[in-house]
Amino acid sequence: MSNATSAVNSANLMPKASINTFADMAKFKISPARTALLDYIEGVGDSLARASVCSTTANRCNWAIDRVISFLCCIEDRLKLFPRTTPSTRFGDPNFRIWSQHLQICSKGLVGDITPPERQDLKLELEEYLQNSFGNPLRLDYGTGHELNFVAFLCCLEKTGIATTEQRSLVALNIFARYTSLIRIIQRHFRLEPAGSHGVWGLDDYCFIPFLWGAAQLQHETSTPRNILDANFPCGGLFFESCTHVKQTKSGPLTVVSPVLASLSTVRTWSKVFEGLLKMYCGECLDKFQIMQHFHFGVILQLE
Amino acid sequence: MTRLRTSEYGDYDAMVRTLLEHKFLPEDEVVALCDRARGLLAEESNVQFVRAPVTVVGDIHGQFHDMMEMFKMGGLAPDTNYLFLGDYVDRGYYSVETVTLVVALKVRYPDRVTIIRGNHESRQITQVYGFYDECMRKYGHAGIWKAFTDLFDFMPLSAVIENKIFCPHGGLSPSIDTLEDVRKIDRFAEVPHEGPVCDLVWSDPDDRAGWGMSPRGAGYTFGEDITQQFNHNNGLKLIARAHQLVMEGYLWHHDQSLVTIFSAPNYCYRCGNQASIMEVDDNLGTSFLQFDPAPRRGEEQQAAKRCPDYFL
Repeated sequence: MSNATSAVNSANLMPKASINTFADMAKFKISPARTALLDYIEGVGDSLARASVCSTTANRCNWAIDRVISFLCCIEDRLKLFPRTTPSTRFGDPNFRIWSQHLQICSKGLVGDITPPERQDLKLELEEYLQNSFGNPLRLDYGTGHELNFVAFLCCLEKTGIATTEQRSLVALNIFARYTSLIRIIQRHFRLEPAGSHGVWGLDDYCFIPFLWGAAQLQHETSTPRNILDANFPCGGLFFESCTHVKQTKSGPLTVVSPVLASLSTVRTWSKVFEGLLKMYCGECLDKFQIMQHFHFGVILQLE
Repeated sequence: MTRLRTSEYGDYDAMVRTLLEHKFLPEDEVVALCDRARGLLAEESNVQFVRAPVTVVGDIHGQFHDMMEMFKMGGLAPDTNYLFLGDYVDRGYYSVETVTLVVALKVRYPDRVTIIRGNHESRQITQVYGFYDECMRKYGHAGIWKAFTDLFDFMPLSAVIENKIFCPHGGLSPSIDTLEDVRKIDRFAEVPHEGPVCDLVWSDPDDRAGWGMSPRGAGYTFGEDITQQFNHNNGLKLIARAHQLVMEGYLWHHDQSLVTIFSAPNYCYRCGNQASIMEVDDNLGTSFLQFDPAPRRGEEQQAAKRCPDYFL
């Protein structure tokens, strides 16, 4: 293959932001990408509902999953190498931009390592989702759109055979949970702005999925949604960890600083919470033009 | 009929009292208030003239109890004159209560209270950052949101204190050289994605000279050279603006030719910042009153509300 042809091919493989108008959302609604993402999100929920909250799954990891985990650990370890500037104004720390370049290099390394040799054509798409998972270096913000990119990355691991459907709860508990705690450290470290948050009317300023998958995890536990209003949460899982995070970072009663989260305490069962949150995720994130206009489509997650 | 008749003062005094006590105002009264305010604001200038002394207030973002704390320190209208620099709504829990009170004070004391438009006084932004959700949750439909967002189109784009202190919500614009340029704008519309109106509510000062691209994706950043030139051209001594969280509640920039004022303490119930208001005296001297979040008694008893429809 000549260099010219190879350049053309790699341009074709470059994932693109293809939703440019509100009307494009109609295309997305019936797209293979939306189906794949939603199936994956729901599927992970189902497998978490079957796993126990405290299940240890380390011995069932495969090499690629271990490599992703070590990538996240390494990102966290090296964060201290990127000093912060003294805060004076609203904007996040410009040093986040330098860190983002470092992330880009590490992401390429990870994707290069875990992509099967015969599927090198998929590397660009995996890199795209992974790099977009940690916030926007220009706007110095992070929100559910970035979180969706990480879910897309995990979904693609399965679509490309790097992880299997049997490993879904393992991926959620070992990779996604670690990502969630890492991204909170990054938010604090670089003072990232919440991207498009609904203020107190969102569950959290930055994230959604930990509540959704967390509710799935609790379906066979003794706690009930009423425990959301407790002063001390029952141990267990992504959901209450995220509630704790809201309480630790916000001052004031939960009914005021996150009224929607507090209102979930009136839902009867965790499975109803999960079903409602899944609908809410579609309504507030996946089917929102403001979020999807930034999402890139490729060959694994296709718009048409 | 824009200004109140003397015979109406009693009703509006009662309305202000209700709002100050943080009691519910029925929807028809809120809508009537918005109608009244629209007529009043329609007659004001894009650069509304304000007399000193006056107290200048930055972003509030629905933090009603903190605004009460601010009134405790700064005094209440009409004993204190106020200039509000926009961003009454979004993010906080009490946007409806906050913006209703600010507008009621404007209607009751039109010569003592000046209100201008912030980047959050917009249909698009309020649909993303919480005011729309709040109206839906508190009133069950979008009527209140529509009444307020229709009113926002009429808010002045800036104010000028004694022709010496220029006060936009955000900052300057490459399409604006003089206050006369601002006066000529036809403002009665939604905040556009670009151009002078967008820049006045979105721009930020920066350490770098000249115009820069804004990381916010709207408006520009502008350096000290731009500020000094603008102040010189227009015979101004200062630009006072809001729009950015500053940890002490106020922050001088550009060799004291520009100041940021931010009036939402512990912004988003999370940021740990102080808030401030700026008092401008008869001789245009400035001083700052800093304040912390109000103790919010009684909020603990607030019961969990009905779930969003997704859970029904």
